[in-house]
Amino acid sequence: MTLTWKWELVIYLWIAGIAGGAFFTAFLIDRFTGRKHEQLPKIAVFTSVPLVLLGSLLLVFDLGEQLRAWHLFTRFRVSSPMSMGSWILLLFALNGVVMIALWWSKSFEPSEAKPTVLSRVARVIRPAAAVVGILSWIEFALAVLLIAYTGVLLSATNQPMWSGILLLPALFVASAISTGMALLVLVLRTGLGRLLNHLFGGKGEPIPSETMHTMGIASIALGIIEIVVLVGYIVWLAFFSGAAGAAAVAVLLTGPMSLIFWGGVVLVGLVIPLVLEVVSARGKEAVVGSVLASASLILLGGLFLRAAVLLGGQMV
Amino acid sequence: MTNQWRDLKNSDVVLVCGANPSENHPASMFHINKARDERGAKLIVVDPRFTRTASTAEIYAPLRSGTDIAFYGGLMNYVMENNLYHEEYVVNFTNASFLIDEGFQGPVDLDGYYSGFNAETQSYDKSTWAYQTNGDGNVLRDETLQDPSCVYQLLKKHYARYTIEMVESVCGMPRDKFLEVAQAFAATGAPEKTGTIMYAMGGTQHTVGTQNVRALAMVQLLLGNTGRPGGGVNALRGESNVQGSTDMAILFHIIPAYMATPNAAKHKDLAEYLEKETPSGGYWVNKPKFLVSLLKAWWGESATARNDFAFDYLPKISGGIDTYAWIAMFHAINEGTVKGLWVMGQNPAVGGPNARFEKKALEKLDWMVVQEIAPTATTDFWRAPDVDPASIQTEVFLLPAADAMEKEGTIVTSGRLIQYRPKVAEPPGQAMGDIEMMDLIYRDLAKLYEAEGGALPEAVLGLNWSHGADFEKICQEINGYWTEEVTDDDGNVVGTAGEMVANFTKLKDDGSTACGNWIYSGYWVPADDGDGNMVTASKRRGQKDPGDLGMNPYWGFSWPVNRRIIYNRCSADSKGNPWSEDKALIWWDAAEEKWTGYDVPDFSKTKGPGDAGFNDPFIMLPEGKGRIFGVRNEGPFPEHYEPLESPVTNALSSVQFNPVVKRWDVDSGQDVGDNIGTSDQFPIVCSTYRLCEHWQAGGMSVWLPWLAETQPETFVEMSPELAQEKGIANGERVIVSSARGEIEVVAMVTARFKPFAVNGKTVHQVGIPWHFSWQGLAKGGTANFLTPHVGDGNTGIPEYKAFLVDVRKAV
Amino acid sequence: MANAMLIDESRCMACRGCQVACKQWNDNPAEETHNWGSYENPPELSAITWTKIKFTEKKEGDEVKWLFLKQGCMHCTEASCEAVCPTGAISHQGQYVLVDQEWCIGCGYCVAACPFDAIHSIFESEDGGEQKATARKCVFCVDRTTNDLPPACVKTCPANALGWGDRDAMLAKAKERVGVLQASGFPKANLYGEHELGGLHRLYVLVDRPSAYGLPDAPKHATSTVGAQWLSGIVTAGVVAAVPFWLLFKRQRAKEASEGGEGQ
Repeated sequence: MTLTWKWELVIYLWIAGIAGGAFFTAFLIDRFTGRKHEQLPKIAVFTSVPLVLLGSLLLVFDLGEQLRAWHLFTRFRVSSPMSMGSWILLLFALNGVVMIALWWSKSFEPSEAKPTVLSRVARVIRPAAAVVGILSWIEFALAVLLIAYTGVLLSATNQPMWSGILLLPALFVASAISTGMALLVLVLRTGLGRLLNHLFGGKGEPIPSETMHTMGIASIALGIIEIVVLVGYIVWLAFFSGAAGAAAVAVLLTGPMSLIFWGGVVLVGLVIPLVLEVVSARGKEAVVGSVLASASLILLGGLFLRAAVLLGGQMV
Repeated sequence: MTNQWRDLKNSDVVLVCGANPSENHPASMFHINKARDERGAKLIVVDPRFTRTASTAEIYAPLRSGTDIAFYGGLMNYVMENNLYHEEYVVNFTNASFLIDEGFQGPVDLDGYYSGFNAETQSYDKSTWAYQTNGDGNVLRDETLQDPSCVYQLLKKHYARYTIEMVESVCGMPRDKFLEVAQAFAATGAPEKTGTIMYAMGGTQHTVGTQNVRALAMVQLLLGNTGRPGGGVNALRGESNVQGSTDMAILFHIIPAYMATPNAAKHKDLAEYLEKETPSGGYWVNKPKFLVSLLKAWWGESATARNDFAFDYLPKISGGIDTYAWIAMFHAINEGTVKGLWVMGQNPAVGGPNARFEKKALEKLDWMVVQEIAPTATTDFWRAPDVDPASIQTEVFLLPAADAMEKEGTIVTSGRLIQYRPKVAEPPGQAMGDIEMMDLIYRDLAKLYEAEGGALPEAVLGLNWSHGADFEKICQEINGYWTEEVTDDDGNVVGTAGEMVANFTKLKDDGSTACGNWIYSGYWVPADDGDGNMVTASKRRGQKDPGDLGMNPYWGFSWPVNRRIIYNRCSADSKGNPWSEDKALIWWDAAEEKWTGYDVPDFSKTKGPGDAGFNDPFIMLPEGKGRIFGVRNEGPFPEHYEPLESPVTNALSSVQFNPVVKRWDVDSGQDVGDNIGTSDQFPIVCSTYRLCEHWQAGGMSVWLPWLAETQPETFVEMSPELAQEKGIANGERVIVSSARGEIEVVAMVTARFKPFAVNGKTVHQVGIPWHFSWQGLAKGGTANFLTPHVGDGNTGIPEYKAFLVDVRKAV
Repeated sequence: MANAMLIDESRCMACRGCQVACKQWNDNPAEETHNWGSYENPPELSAITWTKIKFTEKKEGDEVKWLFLKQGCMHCTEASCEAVCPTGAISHQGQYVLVDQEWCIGCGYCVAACPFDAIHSIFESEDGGEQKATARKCVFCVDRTTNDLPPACVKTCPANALGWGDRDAMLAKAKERVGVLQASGFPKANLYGEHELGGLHRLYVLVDRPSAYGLPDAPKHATSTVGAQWLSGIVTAGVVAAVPFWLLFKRQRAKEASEGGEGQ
């Protein structure tokens, strides 16, 4: 069989999900805790924008005619998830860059003696910083669309493993949020977060351990949600999608994708992290090693999920 | 073909047996489908395997390879038992009513033999296989068909043994399938119905190939189908122009237009030739005109009445199949008798039987010339993968040839239709057409003979080579022309020197006409294209079709004399009226007192009811009747014998195989030799055949990427039952072996093959396409490495269709 | 007035003249193949194989059937490829669904979206590797058909299994043929393509149900549920937002508030 979409697309779907999921997570934590974690969305934007740009590069690299990539932005085709996705990706990245710029302008402390180009720029855009709150809501909406898009892209096709299965976007969304938060946890736990915090004039204050603890619990909940959706997806495929759906299940569970599915998606991506998190959550203090390990495994699991579904879907 | 491709549309039942038109003659399906659409015709396929033709057929009946006669015999028995034969036709137009010599005995009486068998020479004394005559030499007849000595009663007695049970047990054809086929085809015995039988190499390439064709021809006579629209005995020729090459005498035993090759012992001079070869009745009484005109065409002014029209210059043969036929020729090469070989567009290393033997024989040649359009296993035999070029002394000359599209010419379809084809592209590089090549070679040869003399230089130097390489002039010579001004009895000029003759009725035996091929005569003269334009007959493209029977008389030229259906006198009844309105082809017009209709009557135009011979449609035969009783080397009626290599014993008699089969026994027991296998070592029946996607021995197709992608390599088809027995999975590589050798190919496990139940025994059959070799983009094991050096008892045609193999998984 | 191609599979004998004629007219190179235990090759349609015959063997009791399907672009009225194309390079023009080769970016989305696996963008490169390019498929020989010539495959078919002409006329012919087949021992004969996906421009006369040939019995448009798909993703995001995040972090906030209150 010929695979039209290969590893470039696997990684792209994976990191687009992570990027959207990371901002989604950070934004909600900040909002639900009464704006007590303002640095989180900043860290998330700083992480997700480069990821999105990297993803876009992969996307372009995967095209048959790379130099024509700009054609994507000459049309706005609602019927085409890929067209929508391209726009979402573009807006998510642009909006993120604007947010970064505004944040930066706010924290920029120009030297009074010698006004530089940078200080002038900062002075000019600083008044607009008031809208950064609105922009982050927009960024949040774009993040939701972005993670949904990675699933819709596949389900709006005619491949039995993907086509018209409502739980596929759900599965990709669940995985995106899960992996997004895992990346956030990694960033925060490794001190990278504090470094990023400093860039915006923050004091590098650590995230409260309660928050980290709650994120751990949330991760368990996300894992469980993902398992439920995954089981639902498989059942849907196996029993409600005809012979082709059953063949698709066979590809995943017993066929060429079985190792990636059982080993990568289920074991590495779901079961082991859940066990680690549950063990970790029971103790008073989180075991840093165990948290880092489970976050890394969740990230990997997300990659395996994209690989199993994207590659496997083309083998039915 | 007695009929035309386009005439298939007039059939009520099309029986395909020993052919695979969908794959090898796909254009014919257009006409068969027309018959099905327009008249609800049925297509019946009888074949060992379920072919692409079978896939669209109304009835498919499996038959074990090599048992056609048992099937046709069963069919004839069914027709006679149930009185379904076409009585008026059989009585009037065939020799069914003729009485046969009292001494005649057949397999019923003699356990598989006919009277006159000589066990020592493995041949028959045929003197009892003759008509009874009265004192005047007239044949005795019983038109009630009741006389026990009449052909019909003998036939009935002969095939009474071919019961449904016998067919089922010999052919492995399920009883209900046989009955379905028999009922459907026997229905064409009704006077208003016609059925056609299409056969090809599946019928002919057997030790009993001639009798297979005889059998089906007899069925067509019994059912009154020959000589009528939608009927006939239709050989699907294996190449687009194989009919033309046969007409032009590609075979050793004939010279152009089906006259016997002179034999040194039999024909010491022209008079003796003409005396022995000219029959007492029928159209062949004109043979002297045809032969003399042929000699005049070839030797021109060097052929005079004084020198027997150069009859002595004609090469003479001194043997038969055992000496000159294909297999014999390769034995002669192998023995060193033949030292040089000139190959024109043939590929014996792929296409010859026991091809390993024939390929090895090539190594013994001093020289070989090959005219080819592409490298083949023959052009490059000296560097085949299993050959060390250093060990080969043969000097090989490759003459790059033009493809059919790169030269002007005519081709003749299976329906004898001659069509002109212009040259549409220049040959690449140094390649050139055969005519140009022959012209250059002749000129050099002539120079050598002139300079050095040699044996009989006048035969070469005296050739009429005035045409050179001029295509137009060569066609004129084939058509025939007056060599001098000729006047009729009234002094009118009927022809001037060099003027083309209108047709072969003008030919003379006095040297005043020359004609390169009498049956083609008329093909190059201007003729009406139906729209009032006079166009060279075989260049015509007139679309008109009077009678709407697909005769299309203004398209091309169908030999003889643009006749589309031969023996077409049979299309009218014994009074000269059409058997039915929708199939009225020609009929007797009582008012005009002549035959008229939509085809050129194959009959004397003015012979009316009451005239002698009015009911003698088969004008090429002295008796004028279709021969249900017809003498061949193994007997006058086809009798079932097993193939030489068979997994079972003959259920009909104790004579296991054709008693007059042609066999060779050189180097047997050696790795490469005339080995014959037995069923304990090689229990599986194997057939070879062609694919739609490739052409013959591959030279024209295996190098074409678009064709190679569709069928990239050799495979062997087998039933799931056999595959399971042998532990073979679909797509795996397997080794197929016979007593002659083995090849590695891909296994194609398919339900389209089914084991046969033969005499209570399970017989497996497999099949392999034979196009491939190590040469080409599409390549693989050569199927003919497995086939035997065995020939039909009359023609020597090799047995390619039924031999024994074994199959095992390749390690 | 749109034209359509009529494919009478009861007449097709799989000679594959159409397959080769298509390559010849459209200048498509051959693929490297090997025999995989079937007459069928190349095994699948591709960017350089726009039509091919699919061979299916089927056992019905003791009888074997060999079904042939001429595969290729159906030129659907509701064309999935056109709907999902992000650049608008694929367009519907009369009976044709065409890919603008100058505008296509080769993203491969149409490949995944096609219900008939008829459009492809992967090529075998000279060195045997694979290489992605613009999407290619049957174009109904648009250069011939706009000049009153039938498509190359139709022209070459010796079995009279292929037809080209006004769609209504082709439909009438197909229905008549289905009727004849049903009356002559093929009760399952059916017409495929009249209503599927808004009407296909390849109409099939089949003697068995479509899935026996490998055709989808009920082909669906790739984006027929795309709204629901978006909703599914967004709702899931909402559920995730509500369940773990809202519940957990609200609780944490409440807990912090009460703890803070105690402290003061």
